[in-house]
Amino acid sequence: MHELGVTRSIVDVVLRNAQAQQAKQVLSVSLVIGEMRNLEEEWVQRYFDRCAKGTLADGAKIKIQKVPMAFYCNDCGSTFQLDMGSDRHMCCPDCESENYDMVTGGELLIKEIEIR
Amino acid sequence: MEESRIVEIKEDILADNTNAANSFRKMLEHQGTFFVDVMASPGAGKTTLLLALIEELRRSASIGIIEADLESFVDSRKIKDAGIQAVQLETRGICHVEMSMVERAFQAFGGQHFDYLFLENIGNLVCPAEFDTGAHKRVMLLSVPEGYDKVYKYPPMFAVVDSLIVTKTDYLPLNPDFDMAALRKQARVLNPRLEIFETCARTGEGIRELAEWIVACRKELLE
Repeated sequence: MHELGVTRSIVDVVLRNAQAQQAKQVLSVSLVIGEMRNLEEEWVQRYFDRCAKGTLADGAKIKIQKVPMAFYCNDCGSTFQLDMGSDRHMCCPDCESENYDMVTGGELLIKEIEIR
Repeated sequence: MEESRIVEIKEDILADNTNAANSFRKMLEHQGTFFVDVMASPGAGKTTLLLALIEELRRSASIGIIEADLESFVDSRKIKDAGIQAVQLETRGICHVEMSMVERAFQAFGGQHFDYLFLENIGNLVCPAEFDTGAHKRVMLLSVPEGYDKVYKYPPMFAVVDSLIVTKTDYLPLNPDFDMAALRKQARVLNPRLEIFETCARTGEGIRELAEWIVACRKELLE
């Protein structure tokens, strides 16, 4: 359901930028979305179609590039992924440290728009 | 027909909300107010935990509470009955709280300053995780009757909060499948610095420790 709130913000940012570029029409919108964000392309597109109706962005296609979750070890500096579903001990695969941060997977960006 | 061209934007989708949240946080800090966003699924015990926390904190501090629900004044009434300032925020069907709503609700206090401000977010383990509400700390509740295996099902919530508060521990004998050790381990995978508390508002277990953590966080913020 939060797709609606997020989509309203997408439409605002897209229109602001399209107007600044004096675009006649927005053809597509490319998003970069982290895996952790739970944003479904189908729903974003559906809400976008509604929110953008009658604007420059009416009919624009939403393209989503998903970014997997990755972690950075604060002790040895290696970057790694974790299998969330596994029951094994979750730690850095190189030094077994548990002192790590998620570095990608939380993205919520508008990368670019295609206009004419 | 004109040829199409690509324009790079690279903007955070929720930048407006995040910027407003940052200003709000700063403003509260200047007023000496520590703001906590309380999130959980419906029925996890948010209001009951807040009522227990109020009893720990009220002796030495002023408290304001923003109660968010889709509809109704049920929760804010409970808080007011306890003699605490409360504002009801009705989101009218929206599944989460955004900054514009927090600002409006805060204005309804009429310029009062508090030592502690709490937002009881909409009962929902998914959507509220995505929106910065201007709080200094975000906490989530997970009640023992809900089950321990929620981390992999609702990862964003566990990843964004500063603290996980397990509630209704008096139900542990009735729910022997609740694996506290596994919950702690899984939650820390997503969030290694997560503060975890085990509480029961009914028996008072863990409430003082939680209140002490909140007091310490405020002190650290205002130092």
